[in-house]
Parts: sequence; C-alpha cells; structure tokens
Amino acid sequence: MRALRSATAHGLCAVLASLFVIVPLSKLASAGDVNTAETIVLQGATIHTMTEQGTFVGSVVVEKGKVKSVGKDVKVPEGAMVMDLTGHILTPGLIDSRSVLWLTAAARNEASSRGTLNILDGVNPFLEDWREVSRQGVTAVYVQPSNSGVFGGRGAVLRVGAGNSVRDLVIATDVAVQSAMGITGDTVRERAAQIRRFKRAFQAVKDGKDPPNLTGNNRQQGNQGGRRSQAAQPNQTKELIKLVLDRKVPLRLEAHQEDVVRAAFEMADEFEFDLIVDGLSSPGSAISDVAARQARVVVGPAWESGAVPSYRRDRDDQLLSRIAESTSRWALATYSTEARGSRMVRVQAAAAVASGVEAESALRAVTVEAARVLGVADQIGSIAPGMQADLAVFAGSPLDPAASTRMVMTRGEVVYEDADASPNNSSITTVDLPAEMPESYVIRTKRMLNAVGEMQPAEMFIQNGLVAAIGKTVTIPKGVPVFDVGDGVVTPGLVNAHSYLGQQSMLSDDTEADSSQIRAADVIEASSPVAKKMLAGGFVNIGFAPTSVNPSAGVMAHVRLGAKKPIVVDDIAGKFVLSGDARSNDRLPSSLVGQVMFLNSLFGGTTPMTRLYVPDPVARAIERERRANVDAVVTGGRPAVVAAESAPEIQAAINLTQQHGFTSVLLDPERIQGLANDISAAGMGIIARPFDDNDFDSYSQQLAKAANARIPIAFSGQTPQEIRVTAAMAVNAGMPSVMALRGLTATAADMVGMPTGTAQLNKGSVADFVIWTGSPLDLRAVPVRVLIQSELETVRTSTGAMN
Amino acid sequence: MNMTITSVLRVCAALGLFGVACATSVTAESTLYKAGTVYTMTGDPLSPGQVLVTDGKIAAVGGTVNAPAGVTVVDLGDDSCLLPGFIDAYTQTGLSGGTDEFTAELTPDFCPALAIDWNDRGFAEALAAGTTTLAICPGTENVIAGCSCLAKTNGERESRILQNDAALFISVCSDPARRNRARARPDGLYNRLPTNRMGVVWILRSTLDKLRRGRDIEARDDIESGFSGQRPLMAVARTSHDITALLTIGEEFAFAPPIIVGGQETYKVTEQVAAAGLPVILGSLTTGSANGPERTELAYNQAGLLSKAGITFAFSGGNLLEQARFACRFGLEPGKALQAITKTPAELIGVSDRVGTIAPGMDADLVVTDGDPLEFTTGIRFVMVNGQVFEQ
Amino acid sequence: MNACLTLQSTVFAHQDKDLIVARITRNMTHQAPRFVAAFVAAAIFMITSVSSAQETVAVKGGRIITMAGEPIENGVVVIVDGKITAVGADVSIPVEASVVDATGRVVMPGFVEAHTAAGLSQANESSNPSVPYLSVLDGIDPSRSYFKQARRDGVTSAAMVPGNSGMISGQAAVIKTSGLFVDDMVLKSNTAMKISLSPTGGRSRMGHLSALRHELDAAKDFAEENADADVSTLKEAVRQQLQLAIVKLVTGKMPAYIYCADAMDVAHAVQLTKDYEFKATLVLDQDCYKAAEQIAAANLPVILDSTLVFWETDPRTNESERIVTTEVFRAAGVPFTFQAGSSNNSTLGNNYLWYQAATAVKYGMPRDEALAALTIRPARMLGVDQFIGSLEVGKDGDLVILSGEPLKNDTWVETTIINGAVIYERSADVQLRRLLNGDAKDN
Repeated sequence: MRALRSATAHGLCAVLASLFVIVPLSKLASAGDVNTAETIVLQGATIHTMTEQGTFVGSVVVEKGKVKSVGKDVKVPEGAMVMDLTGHILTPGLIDSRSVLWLTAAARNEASSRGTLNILDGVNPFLEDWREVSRQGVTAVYVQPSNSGVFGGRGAVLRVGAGNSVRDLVIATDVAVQSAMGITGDTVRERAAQIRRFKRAFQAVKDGKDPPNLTGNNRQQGNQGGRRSQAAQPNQTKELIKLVLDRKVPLRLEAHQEDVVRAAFEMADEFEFDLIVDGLSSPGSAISDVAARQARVVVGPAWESGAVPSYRRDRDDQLLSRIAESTSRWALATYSTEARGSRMVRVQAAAAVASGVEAESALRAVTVEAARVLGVADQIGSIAPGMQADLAVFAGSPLDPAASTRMVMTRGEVVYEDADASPNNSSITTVDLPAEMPESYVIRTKRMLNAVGEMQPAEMFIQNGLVAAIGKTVTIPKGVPVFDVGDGVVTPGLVNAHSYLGQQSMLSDDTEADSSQIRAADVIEASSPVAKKMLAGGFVNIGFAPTSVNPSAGVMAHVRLGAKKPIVVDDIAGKFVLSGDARSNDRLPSSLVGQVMFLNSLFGGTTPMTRLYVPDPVARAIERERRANVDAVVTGGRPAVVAAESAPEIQAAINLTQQHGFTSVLLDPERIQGLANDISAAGMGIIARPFDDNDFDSYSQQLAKAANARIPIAFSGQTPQEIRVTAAMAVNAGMPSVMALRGLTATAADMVGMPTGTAQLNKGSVADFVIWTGSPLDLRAVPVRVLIQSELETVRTSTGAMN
Repeated sequence: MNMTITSVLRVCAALGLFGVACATSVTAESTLYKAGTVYTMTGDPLSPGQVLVTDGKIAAVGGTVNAPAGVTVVDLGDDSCLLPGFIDAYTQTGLSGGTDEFTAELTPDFCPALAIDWNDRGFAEALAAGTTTLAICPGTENVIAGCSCLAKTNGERESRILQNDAALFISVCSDPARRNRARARPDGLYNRLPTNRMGVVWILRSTLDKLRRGRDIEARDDIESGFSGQRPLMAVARTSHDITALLTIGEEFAFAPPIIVGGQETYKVTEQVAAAGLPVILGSLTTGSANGPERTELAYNQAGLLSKAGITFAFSGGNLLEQARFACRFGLEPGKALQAITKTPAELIGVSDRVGTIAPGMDADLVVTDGDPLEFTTGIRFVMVNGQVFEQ
Repeated sequence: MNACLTLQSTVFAHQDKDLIVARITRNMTHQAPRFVAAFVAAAIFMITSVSSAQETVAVKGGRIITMAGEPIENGVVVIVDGKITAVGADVSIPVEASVVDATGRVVMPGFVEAHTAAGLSQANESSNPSVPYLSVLDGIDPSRSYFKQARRDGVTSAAMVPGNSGMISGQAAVIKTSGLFVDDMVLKSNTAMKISLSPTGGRSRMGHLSALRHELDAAKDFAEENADADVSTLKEAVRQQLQLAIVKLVTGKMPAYIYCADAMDVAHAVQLTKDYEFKATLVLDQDCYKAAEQIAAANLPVILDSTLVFWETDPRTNESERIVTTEVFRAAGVPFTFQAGSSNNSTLGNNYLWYQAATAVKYGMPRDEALAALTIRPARMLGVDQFIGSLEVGKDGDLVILSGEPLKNDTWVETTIINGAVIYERSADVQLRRLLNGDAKDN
C-alpha cells in the first residue's frame, strides 16, 4: 500500500494548496482537482454497480479519484496497482441521508427560522469521528441545521474521510434548504397555523414582497447580531425562498403527520418547487400521495435505542416497508444525534430488511437512491465511468453489519483497510410454519446452532415439550410431521446475561452499601412489556439482576421467559459493584478505595451491621441472610458478577477474585486493553454492556481481542436489538462468530451460573428454541417462532425483529 | 493498516518533533553514561562524570568509571547533565474513583494503591518532566485520611509500587470540614463531623486521647504506627495557624515530628518550625492565586526563607524542575533547589535507600538534560526508570 | 525565517494616514499632552522633535543586543528627547546627557506584547456582540497592576486588544506601559479591529458566523454607497460615525485580530480575510495547532496562546501525546509571537512574557529567534516597527537593562527606560521585595 499512499499524498497537497472558496449556491466540483497519478484496479469482487449494469463478479478501475471503468472483463492498465478482492462484495460507498457527522456539538442543535444558517459554518474538519463512520463503508453524509427551526438554511453533502479543511470535505453545498413543519407544534391546530404561515411566506416572496415571520411569534430564533443584522434577516429568508421557488434548490421539509405531509405536497404543487419530504413517521393515508407522486423521501431510523423523539414514538413497525413499496425514490437515514451515529447505516439497512423491506431496495436506499434524493447522483451513489471513486468492499453482505469491512475508498483514496477481513456469507431466507405446532414433530434445518457454537445440518425430534432426539438425522416415528425449514436457523432460546427487564425502580435501594440480602427473584414482574419484547426477540433465559447502586448489590435470578408467567429457575450469581454507580456521598463508601476495602472485609467474613431502623430480630435476620449470600459466593461456588468499568476498577475486581479465590465475571468493562492477560489468568469472563452510538470502535475491538485471547464473552442489554447489535459489532470488529453465538447461548448461561444445559439443545433437554430467518448475528434475521417447551407463545416476526 | 496522509504527518511530527515519551526500551545489560556533569546529590557535582548502569541499578559512579569490556557506552556530550530522577513527595496522580472516603471521619487504612489507574496520563506527564518516583496520597477531606503509596512513574506494573502503606496522612486544615453540613436525606444517618475547623482539631485530639488511654479505636495499629514514628507522618497544614495548631497538638501528645505538607505560610513561623525540627513538603509553587479554602498568603521566596531558617523542605506537585528553577530565581541557592526535588523528598518519604541520589546500588532512575538543569531554557533529553530509557 | 519576518511585516504595514489623522484630531480635541502630539507629528513628518527642551539620556557600558545586527560589546545608546540618536561602540556621550551605567549588563529593546487585554478594565462588551466603534483607549486603566508588572518584566509596549468573548469587539491600540493618563501612553491608536470567532450568547458557530458576515456585508454595502464621500464628512451623522471603524476594516484600511478558539475557526478566519479583503493576525487558542499547515498556506502571522505545552489523549487509543505549539508552528513555517497568560493563571511562569520565550527555546527554538519574537517581530506584526522593536537611530528610546544574558534564570530587569525616561529600577522596587519575601519580612 506504500505506493498508493504516496499517490494520495499528492492529491491531498493539491487540495490543500488550492484556494478554499465557497461558491455561493452552486455545487462545487469537488473531485476534479484531485490529482491521483496512479491507477488502482479492484479485482474479483462481486460488484453491485447500482446501475443498469447490475451485479456481477468483475473489476473496477479507479484513476485520478474517479471510476474509469467497471465490468466483468476489464483490461488492467499498465502499471496499475491491483487489489485482489475475490470473495468480497463491492458497493458504492454508503450514504447517510441525515447525519450530524463533522458538526460541532453546538452546531448539531443550531436552528433558525429565517434561513440564516449555512451548515458549512458548523463543520469542524478536525473532528476524528469520521474514522468510525468510514470503517462501516459510509463515504458520504448529508448534514443540515437542526429540525427545531422551521426554516434553518442550507444543507450539504460531505465526504467521510480525512480533511484539514471544509473544502476537502464538501461533495456538494446548498443541496437543500432545511425546513420543518409540525415538529415544534404538536397540536393539529398549531400545525395548521404553521402550514398557513409557510404558504403566506411563499406567496409573499412570489409576489416580490418580504416574507413574514415563519415562526408566528416574535421570539428570536437563532442568531441575530447587532441591530442592523435583524433588519437584514428577512432579505436572507426571501433570498432562500426565491431559490426554492426558482427550483435552484429543493426544499427539504421534515414532516411526520398526515396533515403536514399532505400540505407539503399541496404547497409544492401550488408554488411549483422541488420537494424532499423528510421524516414521515406517521404519514397515515398520505402515503398514497407519496406513491402517486413518486415523491422523494428520506426516512428512518429503522430502529433506535435511547430516548425516542415524541413524533417518532408511535411509529408503525411496517412503515418502512410500506414506504418502500410506495415509492422507489426513498433514502434511508440514521437520524442519529451523535457524530459517530452514521456508522449505523448498515444496521439501519439490516433493520429495514428485518421489518420487511426488500434487500435490494434497502441497499439502493443507502446508495443510489440516497444520492438521487440528495441530488448528487451525478457524483456518487453508483459505480460507473466518471463517477467519484467512493467505494466500499465488505467481507459479506453490506446489509449484514456483522460482516467486516474489507476496504473503503473515497475519491480514489483508501481511507480504511482491513486485510484480515475474512469472507462471511450469512444469508437470510423465508420460513413457513403452520400457525399451531403439533404435540410431536421433527424440525429439519441446514443450520442448527450446536453446543460449540457452530451451525450444522440437523434434525430434532420434539415430543411433549422435550427434545426426544437430535442429530444429523434422527429416526422419525411414523406419522410425526417433519417441518423442513431449509436455510432457516434453529437456535436454543438465547441468553441475556444481565438485565433488569425494565424494572430498575423495583431493584434499587442504596440506603446501605450492603444489600446482599436482596434477591432479584422476589420482584420479577410477569407482565413486564420489556420481558415480552425480550421473548419475542428470541431471548428466553435472562440473568435478572439487582441494580448497581450498592457495592454488594444482591442475588441475581435465572428467569426463563415464555410460559404463561415467567419461571424463576433459581438464584444464580451474587452481584457486586466496583463502578461509580455504587458510590454515594450519603453513605460509605464514596470512593473506589472505600468500595474495595468494603468488599474485601465482606469477603473476608465481616458482615457490616445494618443501621436500618428495624427491630433487632429483623436486623439479625437481615445480617444472617447477607452472610449466607456472600458465603455462597466466597465458599459455595456461586459465581460473582462484578460490575467494573475503568481499568482500576477491573484491576480491583481481579485482585478481589484472586485474593478470595472465587469464580467471577466482569460486568460492563470498558477498558479491557492491557488487562486481558490478567483477566484471563484470573479465569474471568466478560459480560459486555450494550453498544452505544457514542462508543468508539475500540470498545468492539477490545471485545474481539478479548474473545481471541480466549476470554469468554457474554452479552447483556435491555432490548433484544441492542444485544444483537453489540454482538454483531463485536463480530464486525473481528470476534469469531462461533464465540459470539456461544456468548448468546451456552457461554452466557454458564458464566452467570445458570444450570448446565441451559441454552443448549441436547437429547432430553426442554425444547426451548427459536427458528430464525438467518443467524441471530445477522441483524436482517428475525425470529419466526419462539417455542418454549412447545407451549409456544410467539408471533410472526418482523414486528419483533428490530423494533 | 491505513492512515491518511495528515495522520501520518501528525504521527511523524509527534515522534520526531514534539517528543512524546515513547516507551522505547533500550535497556542493555550494562551501559556506561558519560556526561558533562553528574549531580550525584551525595557530594559535589562530578564534572565530567560517568555512571555505569547494570540491570536497572547504578553499578558505579565517578569522574571516570572502570567499566567492564564490552559495555555499551553512551556519550551524552559536554553540555549534558545527569541527575537523579525527581521525586514528588505529595501528589494524587492516578488515584481514581475519588481521592477521599469522605463519608467516614477517620480512614487510617485508606490505601490509594487499591485504586490507581496505572495508565493515567498524569504518570506520563510527570515522567516527561523528569519525575520518576511519586508519593501518591489520599485527598485532604479526612482528618486521618489514610496512607501514601510510593510508586514509579513507569515500568513493569509489578515493579512500579515501592511501598503500599508508606506514611500516615492527616489533615490539619479546614478541608475535612468543607463539605459537611446537614444532608438532604431525611434519615440523616450519615452526617459526619467536623463541620468547622475547630472540629478538625477536636477529632484529632480526641483520637490521640483515645490512643493514649488505650481506648477502643478502629485501625489502631495504622494510627499508632504513624504517630509513634514507625513510619512517616504527613500532615497537611497550610496557613500559619494550621501549622501552629499542629505544633501545639504535637507538643501536647508528644508524637513523632510530622512532615508539614503544603506549608504555604511556613515562612511566617519559621522559628517555631525550625525549633520543632519539622520538615516541609511545599505545595506546588505558584505566582498566582492562593491555596486551599483558607486562601494562604504568598511569598515567592518561601523556599529561600525556609532554607535560611535551616528547615528541611522538598517541592511537590506538578513540574518539579520548573519549581526548583523558579525557587532559585526568587532566592534559593541552586544546590538546595536540586536537593529539594531529589534527595530530600526521598528521605522524607522513606525511600532514600533506593532513589534520590546517584550512588552504587541505587535504582537507575536518571534524568538527562542538555544543559544547566536550573536554566529555563534547558530541556530534558531523556528520563530513565530502573535502567529503562524513555525518550522525550 | 527571514522570509517569514518580511511577510509579517507587511501585514500591518500600510500605515493608514486616515488613522493617524483621526488620532491627531482626537488628541487635539482631548487637548493631548505635549509628548503624544510630538510623537504623532514625528510619525507623519519624520521630524525628531517639536518644541520642548531636549532631554538627553545615555546608556553606557553594556552589551547591547540591538535586534538589528550583531550585538555591540561595551556600547552606548544615546536617547535625545525620547528618540534614539546614536547606538554603537564608539559613540561619544553628549555632555548634557544624564548617564545610566550599564557596565557588565545587557541592554535590549523593550519587550513588545502583541495581544493582551490585561490593561483593560472590563475587556469584553457583553451587551452587544458587535461593537466595532468601541476603542480600547476608553477602557485602559493605567493604574492596573498589569502595567507595574509589565515594567518590571521589561515589557515596554503592548497591544491592548478587546477580549475574546465578543464578535466584533472594538479597536485595539498599541500603547507604552508607562504613563499617568491613557493619552500619554498611546503609540498608535485604532490599529486593528478585534474579531472573535468563538460563539457568544449561546450560539453555535453557524449563527455566529452568519451574524458576523451580515455585519461585514452591511459595512461593505455602506462603504460602497458612500464610496465617494470624504472620510471627514462622514462624521456628521452619528450612525455613520459608528460605521467608520468597520468600514475601514472592510475597505482594507484597517487590519484585524481574529481570535480562533478551535482549529476549525482558522479556515473561517482565512476565508473572512479573503472575502472581505482585509489583513489579519490570528490570535490562537491551544487547539489551533492542528491548523498550522492551513495558517502557513494562508501566510498569516499568529499570536500563540500562553499555554505552549500541553497534553492530549486520543480517546480511541488512550494514547497521550505532548503538544509543543512553538515547535508545531516552527515546523510549519508560521511566524508567531507570544502573549502572557492572565495573572491569576496558576500555571507557574506563563504569566511572564520572557518565560514564554524561554520555554520556546527549551523545546528547540533558536535563542535569537526567541528574542526577536519578544521584540522586533511583534513590533512588525503591529505595524509599529519604525518606532519600537529594536535599538536603532530614530526609534523610540525604549530599552531594558538586564542584569545578565536574556532568558537566564538569574537575569532580572534592572532598569526599564521608555521614551528615554527611566521608569523602573529594581533597586527601588519595594513591591518586588515584598512579593519575594512575604509580608512578614517586609521592611
């Protein structure tokens, strides 16, 4: 790669040396001046051109930052550098049609209602978040002022790669004017007023007058400088509306509700401007307007973690597939509010597939259609001669986020490369099963997850809720029906090693540092919606835990979901907390040293007296209970789950484990780096916390490294999706998928002390299993059926899948 | 592996120009360092001087050293100076998850070693500034706060800690009272004393009283060993009245002479401090705002005044060499300035048998400068810990 | 490096006659003291003095670092009525001269601080981010301890600049650090407009830049509308008068200081100088070292933040790196000078201008260049190098007598001379003695 690098050095210098001029309101030719002397040939990959050329195994020739040719048999030019990508999949670089990458924290929330903002002013080209985004094959993002202003200003399409100046990053400026209706006004009446104001403003400009205030109140939104600038603002609003009316720039209008969406279309008809509808989370019958007009729309996210904005809260799970069916001109966006969130484009696309969108349509929505919707299809989004060489190569399907990225190129420059990415061919399929399963039956599959974590062809004979026989082939008694699910994947009910099932408030009491007497088993809530979702998502065995507010938190329970009410199997592990959550300024300990000293004396046999105001006999009973639960860990072989995030916390957990000689598992460690040997030497496993939009990739990479150092890894989380995303991202970062699958099943069960055989399918074991459309690590896959001792609950699929 | 050009440039620049403290281990079994001047701190500087380092220890030092054949010889040049690695006798570097256990009044067994982040940037910063040994102390919010942990700023993790429970650390200032007031929690179980500075002294006095009367007291051995002189006693005292209070209680209970930590106003009570023979670990020298809740008054030449009064003192906190330089500028003799960041702190914290001087058998913790160490324009070329060289 | 020096000298070099005329008018109306009037006259007509009796001072016997050629051993500097009339080894001392003996000492031009707000009482206008019409002359408090400290540390001239937390925050001035009244101190007023790119009032950069461009556009429109108007006639209307300063900026008659809080601001600063065609000196915060290449390409001089050395940790790898900004900018070929940190900054030393230079030398800057960055280089950046920055005939008699070689630990400023008048002597510095030894030892 040396030669390649020196070539790009030229390009970059040329860009640096050239003048940085933002040409107002015209799209910059961005790649033209990149002077890459060398020719690179990407050979042997399956190429999704996203053009009429279709998909084939062939080569792409890249010269001077552009695609020179693409085809099945392309002549390799003399002196070209050839990269062999046999077995990989090559697509145009992915596009996030709504991102906050490159924006400073303040710019992400910057809003205006006067069209005064140019998003390029909020771009910080020195931010490094692009590295995480680039790693996932994303090469372009669309950014614009925040949607909390009704008429914010100019949006832009930016490159994902190193840049020392905004100029280096710009693919196109002024690609749309940001606007929003019905975001700030929640009632129908307020929305109607806003629609009227929009129309009035557009009419005024059409008549050559100054537009009235778009917000409808006199509160200043955004940013006025001195007195003069206030007077100057309406001109800017007018200028921008004029551009829209002259069809020089499209209006990108974020609208969610039916009335606003429809009004937007009417306005576009009346004033004859180009419209991009953004959002569309509850379009109701307006979806037929989308279809009728073949409107340009940006939608998403297909799933989200954390706090969901009010206008997306009641979204229908089938929405994406309905939109995809109604118009081909739709782009998928992450809508992430974190700079690194754009790396989730593939996760979003996978979630879209899981919710019923055709795979081809999902891929188009993050490549060629995204480019069309954004108006940059002449530069990016497909692979054809003359297009900018923004390419992504994956070691598997681009829509399977667990497949690693092999290489990413923007403007002909390699910005990410992983020579170790080995092909991963996960696929999804369709599975048909009857509505009711009989008493006895045989399931036949090409892919069943065995106890070691591998997929193999198998048959399983289920009789009265038990596995009567299992093997490559089993003797099938006469009259027993056989369901062949083909490529459908059969796994045991998955394990979530540590969860509160949404019951945090019942599981917390920080009055005293020692709450060893608390048993999570005592408060399991049968009808918890979180539990239902967990089960629908394929997770059956839950490590149900007290929260982390006490150094000695209490006893975890093994909860088996899916029967009419959840079954508490047993008390399984003691939970202890060295992380900051258990420090309190109101009681001892308030420091890590204090926590360590406290736990050390607890494990050493000292039970602190309770200071609760209870009668003496009760206090003694509490103390007895505490002692018993601590002894169960120290001498009784019950594992300890120790929450420890920072390096000193992890180190302290290791020391306590070794000093007192019990079995323990680390919960939520953040900084495994440099401690992997110690963790391994102490025989400890790791329960990984959920992957977060804000995490650096180093988190997944550390999990992968730990797994490769043979440290057992399990996963945890509050929703099935976040657990699977965490596992998929770890696999993406290099964790062997066998270990990840074990981490979702047997390893996890062992780690937290669930009975041997939990989450395994053996002869004689209870038949808790899940039938999937693909591997649980492939986020496109959904559970078709979750069967619990045959007396199954669960429903069809896509609803449960990613939402 | 792929970097963009800018990041390559930046990395190159970082390595080549800015000088990162990269852990390039160039430990040979035996290396002879020839320098323009060697400040052994055991006598007059040797000029020129040579130091033979074998297996992480100093094997020999002198004007010339008879080195065995075949040793690696490193000639540092005529302008270069070799000094012992600096010793910071009072710092909280790396102590994570809270420096105090301030929900209890007395925490004599609080041991910072249990919660040190060995990758904390503070260690790299200290190392780059020439500091090789640290006394990591608890915070100042407990009257009897715990013990100090003596550690090197780099090296293999196992060999970094010199001692886990070195000195007993107490606070005779208003800090322990700072946060205490009636808490919001209705049960009020955990309100603690003291809520003012009188209370601080009262707790100390009542503890010492219990100790003297043989009353029941938690972690008695830890407390006793500190006050009986079995291990150093470090007492944070900044204002002149902190210091006089310390002297008064010391007299009353006849405990072993403590080391004053902070001591910003020692210059006001030099006679008493000198008479009582108390050494001082001076808090970080500043020319700006005052220290602690009491806002002490400032004398730039604090160190010079202490030196004149015959009080033993060391510098602490932050860039030690820079503090020594400023102390010189403001009136301290140069020889004393170097003592106060090497030999003296080593003696005060009880590790002078291993660090603080350049003599046979000592740890090979060295600082190499490219000129007079006390000039502001002199840079540190490299720092060595246990014979391992960390390039600047 | 020479090339760089020339480049920066051009930045402020267009000595705008308007400014100076305006300054005269101002002085006249304020009934300016004799000295300032004399100096302004000198600036324009290049006459040495006007009306007063001549005062002659000779500094003799020291090693003279002139910053304009080789040092002179055992030389003499003669200052007549505030101006240097002779520098050299074989200079005869006029009989009427009062002689300052500098034997065995080092004589240097007084240090020049290129950017500070420390002499201002309330350096930021918080009610309105855009106040181009303000002048620091109305905010300088000659009794501030900054000036005392400056004289003690050998700083004889300083550019007083409005603070960093506005948008267009007013006009800077270069002043001497000695004087009872502001008008006595002024060397050059209305030298540059202060612009800050750090968002104010809860805005983001987009809003800030949008508002800033609006102000500048409006000024440009105004300037075009009034292109033919005579500057002096504009004064009639108050509104127009308020516009005057910013009009000068956008018509290229006044340079700017642009404060960049983060590296990303540098590109905007460069763009502003191009779009509105004015010259600028960048006032950088720590993070801006990342944009060193861009600054080099744009040929802009810079004033470094007072924290020259700091550490950064990469959150991805947890690797820490020490950044030495002087070395970064030296490698990029960007000419820079220093500013001292605020006096309440507890970081030891960085509130001394000489310490900034010593630190730069410690990390590799050649000593001569560091001394230039204390004297002639900032004088050029400020466009006042015909008055100060070196010891040459015709320049102001601003010099310091050091007890030894500059930047050495035990070197102190023994005497500071401004305009030929001795305004500081260490032997008489009671406050210094008190600071050194504390109140208890005060005698």
